[in-house]
Amino acid sequence: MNKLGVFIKDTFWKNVKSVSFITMLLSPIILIAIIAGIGYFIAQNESEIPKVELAVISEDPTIPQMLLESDETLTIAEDITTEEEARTALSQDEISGYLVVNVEDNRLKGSLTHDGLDNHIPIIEQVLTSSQILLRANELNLTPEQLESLNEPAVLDTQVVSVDEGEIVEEDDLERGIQIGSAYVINIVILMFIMFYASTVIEEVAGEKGTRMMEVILSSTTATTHFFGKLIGVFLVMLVHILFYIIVGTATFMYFRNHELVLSLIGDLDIGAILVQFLEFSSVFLIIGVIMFMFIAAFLGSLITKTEDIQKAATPLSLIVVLGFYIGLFAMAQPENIVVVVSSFVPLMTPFVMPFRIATDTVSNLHVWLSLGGAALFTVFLAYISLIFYRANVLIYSDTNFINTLKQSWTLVRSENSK
Amino acid sequence: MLEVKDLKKSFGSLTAVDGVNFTIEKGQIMGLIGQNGSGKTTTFRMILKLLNADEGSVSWNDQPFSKEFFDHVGYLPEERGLNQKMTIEHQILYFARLRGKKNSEIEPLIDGWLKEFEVVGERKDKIKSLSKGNQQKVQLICTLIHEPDLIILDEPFSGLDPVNAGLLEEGIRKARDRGASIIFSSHNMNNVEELCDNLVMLKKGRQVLYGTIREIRESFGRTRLFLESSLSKEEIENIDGVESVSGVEEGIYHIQLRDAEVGRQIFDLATRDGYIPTFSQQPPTIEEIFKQIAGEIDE
Repeated sequence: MNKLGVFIKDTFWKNVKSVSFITMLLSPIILIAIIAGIGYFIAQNESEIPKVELAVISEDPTIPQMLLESDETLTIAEDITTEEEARTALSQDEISGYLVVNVEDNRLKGSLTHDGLDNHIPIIEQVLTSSQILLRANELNLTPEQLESLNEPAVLDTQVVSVDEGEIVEEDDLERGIQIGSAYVINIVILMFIMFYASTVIEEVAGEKGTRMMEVILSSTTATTHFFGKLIGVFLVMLVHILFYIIVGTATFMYFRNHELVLSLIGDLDIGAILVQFLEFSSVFLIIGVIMFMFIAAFLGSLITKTEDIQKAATPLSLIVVLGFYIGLFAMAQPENIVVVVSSFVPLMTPFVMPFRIATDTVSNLHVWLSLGGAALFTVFLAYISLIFYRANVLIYSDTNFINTLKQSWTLVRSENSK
Repeated sequence: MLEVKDLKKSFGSLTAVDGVNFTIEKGQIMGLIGQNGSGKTTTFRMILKLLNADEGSVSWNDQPFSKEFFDHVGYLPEERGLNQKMTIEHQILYFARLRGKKNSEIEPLIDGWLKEFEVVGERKDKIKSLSKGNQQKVQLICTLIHEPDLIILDEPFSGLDPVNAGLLEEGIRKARDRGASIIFSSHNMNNVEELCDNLVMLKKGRQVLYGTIREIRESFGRTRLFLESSLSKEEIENIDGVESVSGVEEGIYHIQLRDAEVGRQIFDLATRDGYIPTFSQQPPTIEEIFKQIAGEIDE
């Protein structure tokens, strides 16, 4: 059996079956389910809000009628016709308030006495204004057509645009929102994936070195085979992870596609096109980011002498990842800031920062490709350096610190390559 | 047949191995001894290509040793360890697959090997549930189960009680009998004398002894004499060429000679009145030779 295959198969199955992977896989789904559950529960409660009762003392019978039509949560206490009765009813908590409407000199005057009807005031005002207009229209002998033409609102069309390489590009508000939201999501996903898969690699490598299995393994195959076997195994686990989300996501979308809420949200947007655009770059950034950090993780893992030190090895990596994450968040607020612009071209930061610059349209396609190319080149360089040190590191079992291990490793690297 | 020629290796300014030469035929056992830091592990690592030699060569059946022979190697490193989370079976199969074996070839053999090495535990038990000694035996099984032609054992006896050491010796002999070439290092000279056909001793990376156990011992001359006679301690001490005399009780002596020839003189003197129960003139043991060469630093 091919030895690379032995490592890939072993690493893959061990991790796919691990508790931490399954937890990682299911946690976003469980989280979304919980949030959806809470949302549903709140929505249920909202629809059951008790109607408030209002007494209307007016000579104009259209006012209570218009109120009922405009505010679904209101009911009118029709049996109350005088201010006296209304006051008594309010004092006995039978109604929430009463509205007295008088017409003086052809002017509508309303006065609302209430307990907790603040939310309804705008609608009441609107209804009174409409009545006032009707009253005036009557007085001026306007025809219904004339009235309608008076009420006709002005038209304001809005168009959000962005400037892309000197050209004004039309943009949809919702589309932009989706882009920015996606950038946030991708930033968090990249953070989670990198942290999880980098620490998986560290555990895989440090596990076999820390348990002293490495020497036996290296007497049966090469360090290069082991290195790539482990990395490919972990990478396949990640692909399963992504594939799982794609399948679950598509299935959920298919199921809810015709749901009222979803329809009202997406409107006539072409969700497919937006997703493709979103996945196009983001997935490339995600994959290149994870690969880059996996190489670093393999290098760090090979420095470990004891399995207890795994956390120590992960620290420098976590610091870089967290730095990238924060620059990413900062990029959202200030995409043109010099720190953001520069760090979007620093290979280790690119996967965190560039998606935001793309989302805010502050970067040209050429620059995106340049940063991707830089990251890809840097990944190859990382792979090369990691592998050279890996071969030496795995044989060193000093109980001293990282720096000393690195020094010893460097001596070994030189003596191995100078022959 | 493994042939090691003029191996040299230095790390920076430190010369770890300096001119090591030996040959192990099929079905032979070679012992590699030397103090800590004398270059034993580095030598093993160079044979196995874990390290590149600065100079010299390693050949297997008259061809340069290369990665193609990896499947025929069994290696027990000095730094022991297994994956604590794996089961015994999984661990054995993992290493065997890395030696190019199929699961189906090795699976039927596991129970037999566990029994032979008297491992206390079932094949489905996790490694971490085993005692240290049993873990070490599982690792030995991992080293031997794929029937390697070249077996390299770095300190295989350390940490084993006499019963388990006996089982290991048995395992090594069996491998030899089916034609494997075996090399092991040890600090226990009894194991070395009992098991080995040949011996190499390293001191500060240099090869200071090489040959069969007998050749090496004889080369030091028969300078040790066990004598049981009526001679007094003073009489023996007065003989020219006697270095020292020690004895547990009157009449039984351990005599250290400067010159083996003096033995005849003592024999004549001791037997002048006829029968004596013991006159045994022997070369030094491997342990004594080891201590003598290593100098006073070691014990």
